[in-house]
Amino acid sequence: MTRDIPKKLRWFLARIVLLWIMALAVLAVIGAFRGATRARELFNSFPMQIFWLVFTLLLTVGMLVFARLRQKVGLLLIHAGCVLVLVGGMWGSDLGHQLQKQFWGIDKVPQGYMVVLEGKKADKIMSGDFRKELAQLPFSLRLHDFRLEYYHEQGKLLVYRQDKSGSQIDMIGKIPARPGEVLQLDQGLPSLKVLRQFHNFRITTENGSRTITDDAQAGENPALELELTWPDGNLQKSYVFERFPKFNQVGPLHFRYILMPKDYFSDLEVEVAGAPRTVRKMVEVNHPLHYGGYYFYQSDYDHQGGTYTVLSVTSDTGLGIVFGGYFLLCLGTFWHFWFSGIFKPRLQRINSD
Amino acid sequence: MEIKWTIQGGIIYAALATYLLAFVIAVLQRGKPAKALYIIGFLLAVVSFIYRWLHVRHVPMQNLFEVFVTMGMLIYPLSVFSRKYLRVGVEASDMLLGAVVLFPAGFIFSAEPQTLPPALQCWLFAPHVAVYIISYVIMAKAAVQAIGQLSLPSGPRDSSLVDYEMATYHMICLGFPLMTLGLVFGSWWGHLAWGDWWGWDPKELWSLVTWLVYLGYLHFRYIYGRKYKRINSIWAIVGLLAILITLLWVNLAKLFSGLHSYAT
Repeated sequence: MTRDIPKKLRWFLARIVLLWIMALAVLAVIGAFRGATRARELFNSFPMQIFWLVFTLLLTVGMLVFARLRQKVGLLLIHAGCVLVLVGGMWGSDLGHQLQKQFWGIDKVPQGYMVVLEGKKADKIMSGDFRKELAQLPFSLRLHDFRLEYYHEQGKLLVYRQDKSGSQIDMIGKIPARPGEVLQLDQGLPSLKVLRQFHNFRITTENGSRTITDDAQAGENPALELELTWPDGNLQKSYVFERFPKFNQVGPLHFRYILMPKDYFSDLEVEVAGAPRTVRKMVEVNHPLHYGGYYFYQSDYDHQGGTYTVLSVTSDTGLGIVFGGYFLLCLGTFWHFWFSGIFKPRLQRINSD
Repeated sequence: MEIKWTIQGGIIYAALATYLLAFVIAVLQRGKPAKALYIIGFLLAVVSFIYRWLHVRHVPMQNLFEVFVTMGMLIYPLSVFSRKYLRVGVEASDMLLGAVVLFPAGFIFSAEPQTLPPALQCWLFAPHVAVYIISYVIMAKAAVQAIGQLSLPSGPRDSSLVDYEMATYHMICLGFPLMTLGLVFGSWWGHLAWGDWWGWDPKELWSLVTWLVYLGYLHFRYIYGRKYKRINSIWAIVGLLAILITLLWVNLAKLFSGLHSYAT
């Protein structure tokens, strides 16, 4: 078959593929300048769908007309891998989902978000701004518990001052949030000393007296105990909370206690009406839940009270094809460029020895 | 520009100075002392990498300071490997390359230790970044060979070595599979962490651009062979420019910082 196709036509095709590769590089540069959201719109637009389709066809035709691409295993794997990635990408795209709904009645949304309150269940996929319901799942997710872990040793205390008119707040100091750290402020303002760091601040009242403890039980309520020494010598104790910044004010001073999250976990259970068995998983960043054709990712959480979790929901349509393509692509590049390419003479020498 | 008055900074400066001295001596045709200094520079770079690892208590590849420290350690093994297995030489330029990649670590990027955000606590963190760093160093060496082809058409003096154009091609053939693996690891990780195997994030797009530039080089060289050697070489240099933009994008464009902002 290859011999029947004029050589000139084959080389013309090779040049078109090269042109297509460079056109995609230019479009990717444009996309990088537009930012992720607008780049996504660009690459999912109708003209780009045509571009992807033509690219896939060019690669497929290339494999048919260039005997080398079929005879050299590495090259075959590379090109077949690229075709699979493109096909999987198109199959899982917004347009791909629309076409599957139209022709096969597969009703899935490509992407969305879910908010699940602690102790409650949810089954609605919402848009990114949570204003529009995109789909209702045939199952629901119950959030048994949400847990947040911090890098306590890396915390920072930020100090702000409100001006006399009360309209502007300026940052006037920053210290590591560690017991013993001291911050001297401007004249007329107190000096600060961090006395204690709480992982889980609790107030208990017994016989009318309040006791402040760092509760070792499960839970997180990070706080700092500060000692303020005013210019007149008065001492004042104050507490600064990571989760409740509105309580962090003493006179003209505002405080912020910043902790970096180490990880956050959602203890989720899938509940299907009428089904006795359920699926339960601790979802965290890098460990999504896969169920019912969707992946549920730990995306965000309630920064104030930790009472709800935000999950991003992604359809798994086309994902297997893409990753199959990736596997072939990687295998093919190493095979072709390393083992049949630059290292071949050495490998042959080793074999002949 | 900042001078690091720390043990870490001191080791980096020592490695940088040793690489530079090795380069100068190599240019003066003093092969053995230059090689000895090159090895000392490499050992210092390894010490710097290990010191950083112990200091931050995770693989030091999180930010640009750590990436450049790691690169400084990879130059010497790459030199030895390329000469032995690919017949690609010009170690003097590698010595200079070692100093060049350690310069940003020593004088530009902050060495402030950073904790790993949740997204980076993944087994793919080290392999994804490592294969990319290795491929970038290889492609930098490819670009140096390409510059050699453009400026010294007579080729290397050592007849056991391949000419500069072929050396460029060999280096790109060595680096391209690693770059592909880096791209695929990144996509896999994106799927695990952010819910999307491809997020159209600016850094992702620049890494795609880089991959496509080298893919274009390989196709161009396949179509035209060694007919247009200068274009082949210019293409390899453009590839390095694309790598630099990809690597430094999060710093160059704060407006489009995207999901990879922690990598500053």
